[in-house]
Amino acid sequence: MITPSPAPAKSAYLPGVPLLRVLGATAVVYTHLASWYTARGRAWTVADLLNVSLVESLHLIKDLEVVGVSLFLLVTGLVVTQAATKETPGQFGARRAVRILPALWVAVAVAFPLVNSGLLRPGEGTGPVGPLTLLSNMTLVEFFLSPHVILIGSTWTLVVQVAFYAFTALTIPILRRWPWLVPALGATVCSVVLSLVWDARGMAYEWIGVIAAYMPMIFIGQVVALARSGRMPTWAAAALGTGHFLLFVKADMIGRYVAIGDARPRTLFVVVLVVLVTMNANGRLASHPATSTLAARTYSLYLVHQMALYPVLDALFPVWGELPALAVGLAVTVVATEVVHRFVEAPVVRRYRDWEKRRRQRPAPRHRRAPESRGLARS
Amino acid sequence: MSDRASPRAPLSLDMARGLGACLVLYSYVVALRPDELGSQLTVVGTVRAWLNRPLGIGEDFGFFGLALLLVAGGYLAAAAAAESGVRGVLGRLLAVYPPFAFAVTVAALLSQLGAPTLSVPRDAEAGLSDWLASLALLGNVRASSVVLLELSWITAAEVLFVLCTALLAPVLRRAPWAPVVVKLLVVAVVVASGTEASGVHRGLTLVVLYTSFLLVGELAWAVRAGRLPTWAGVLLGCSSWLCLAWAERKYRELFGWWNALALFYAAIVFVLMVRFWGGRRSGRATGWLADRAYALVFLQGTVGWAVLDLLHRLVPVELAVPLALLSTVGVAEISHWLVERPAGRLARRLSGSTSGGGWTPDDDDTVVLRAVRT
Repeated sequence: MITPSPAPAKSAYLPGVPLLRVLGATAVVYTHLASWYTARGRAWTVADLLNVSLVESLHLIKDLEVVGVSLFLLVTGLVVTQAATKETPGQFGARRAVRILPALWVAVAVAFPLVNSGLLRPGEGTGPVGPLTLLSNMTLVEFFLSPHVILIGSTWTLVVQVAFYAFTALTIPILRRWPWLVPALGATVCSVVLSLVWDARGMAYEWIGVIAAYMPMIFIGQVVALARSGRMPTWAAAALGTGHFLLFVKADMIGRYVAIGDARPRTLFVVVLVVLVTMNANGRLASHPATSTLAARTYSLYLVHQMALYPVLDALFPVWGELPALAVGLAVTVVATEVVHRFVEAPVVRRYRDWEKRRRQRPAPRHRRAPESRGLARS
Repeated sequence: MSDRASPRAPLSLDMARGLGACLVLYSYVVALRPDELGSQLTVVGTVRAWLNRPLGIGEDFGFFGLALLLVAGGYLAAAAAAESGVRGVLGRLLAVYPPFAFAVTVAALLSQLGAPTLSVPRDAEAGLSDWLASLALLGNVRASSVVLLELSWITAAEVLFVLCTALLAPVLRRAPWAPVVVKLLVVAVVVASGTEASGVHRGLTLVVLYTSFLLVGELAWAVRAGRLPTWAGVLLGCSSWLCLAWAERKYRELFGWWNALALFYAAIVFVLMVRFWGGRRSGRATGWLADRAYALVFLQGTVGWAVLDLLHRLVPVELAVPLALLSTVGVAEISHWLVERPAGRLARRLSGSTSGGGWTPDDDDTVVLRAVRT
């Protein structure tokens, strides 16, 4: 029997998380860059080299597809679980919304004219699009509509993350008292949902299935975080983690939700091992200021890299050649990331935290005394 | 984490060797041989569908188990070299070779009785010369056509690695990185030059290639003991892995076996074991299993297969498999008491100390601890 463990027994701090975030961001940008080359029928020496040496030897998916996404989802489970144990459900939901929505809105608003002018191909569907599509992209509702036009392809993982945030907010009281029960419940819910929707038709069912297929990745991050902080015995974490991995294998067997390549479970396992090895890293690289600076900007980079890179490469590659086009494309990506982080993401989070602080410091309103009722209550 | 301050890793080493042995037993006795006999266990099919195929671990975890055993062997050899130099590291031979020799002898006797064993060629009828050639590991360098134990390549790789480590042990104290770099260079050069080789040269090349598994273990020890910075360990570890990954593309014997993936898994799992269980002492069960790891690995293809072949015609395979496993464990116990323990005592006597020098099944802790103190 697993006993309730209300407070963390060990330090939950994971010094390697910023490094993992940087690795995840690098992998995502690399994969999308390689995809650009493939889509335009061009060869890229870097991708060829990595595919021959690393990808084929580890039997992963070409261009390290899904490595970055798996890393991000696992890190989400690691980090969000730590936060959830310290916050109320409302506070948790509001903080996550403030963290992801404003930057998403700005990125989608910038992608809107780029898609309509033909400078950027949408992630799914074909442009041009109207204001309603813009609105449904900003709220992520577009994923559940058919036919749909997704302005920024990589935002699909936010659908999975938002579902996990909602689940976590609802289960915070359970997470505090019986931490092991939350990932166990998560496995049950994912399993039931996959059983219900695997043969249902319609875009909404399709995306509900995608959420149920990918949530196990985040739950694996969650069980690692709970075991690391001493709130769950290692054997229980291993059992629950294995359960979630097998759920992902099941989703892969269904084939409808995890359809790229035949190596997704293997990629997930490799990434889990990398996370376990790296999460406690506290060497020079992990603790370098550049790592934390880059890590803070990974969400902005995740949102803007495709719309910064692709139009620049499309315009400059045929004229200037590979290296100058790549250099300018990456420079534009860095600038766009910095702008979104510095002027949208960071200030909004800062102001919200300031508002939270002021709210906490405000003296509590005095209640009018009700001697009769107090007396009654006492008696 | 106090990994550096407390570098003892007995539980991690015992876990690695014990897990490696269990996976080999599962692979050859529970999964592969019943398959060959046409009576597959249901659980094996399920495990293959849900774990082996998704993870890309072939041969029913067997090669992964052997990889774990070799990585742990490299770790122990490096620790012994640091603790008591040439004599200490040569003591490792007395840990590896005697259970192998015992199993080869059992295999030769069983083949005389006509029992099927895991040999090359399969079910070979061995004479005295084959027994002697197998003992001398000649089949692994293709100097003999019969190999009485198919898995004897792990002994060949480990013996070669131990001899190289002993040769380079005097350099270890002055330049801790030198032995690893030299061994890595040798592996790279030999493997690169052997792609078109045949006969003895090719056999030797493959044995040299498999020492890269032990090299990964040595690197894990060097980083843990503070002899090598982490970045250098990672870099050299990746280079060792790349040697195998490259060879997998160039050597037809390795093509399609996904050995590089197995080594990657084994290396990371071993590093995680050392990292998270490095400071814990081994329990009785894990210690017992680790002490008999080599005997179990070598005897499963002789005793285990012979018993399985005998029983599967008489009883259901669900009963024959546990009985074959029990028989293997029983003979491994005999090997441990008759061969491994006396060999351990001899190793201690040769190294000239009562507490360490040679490796024995009982003194891993001492070796690892003392290795780091020096």
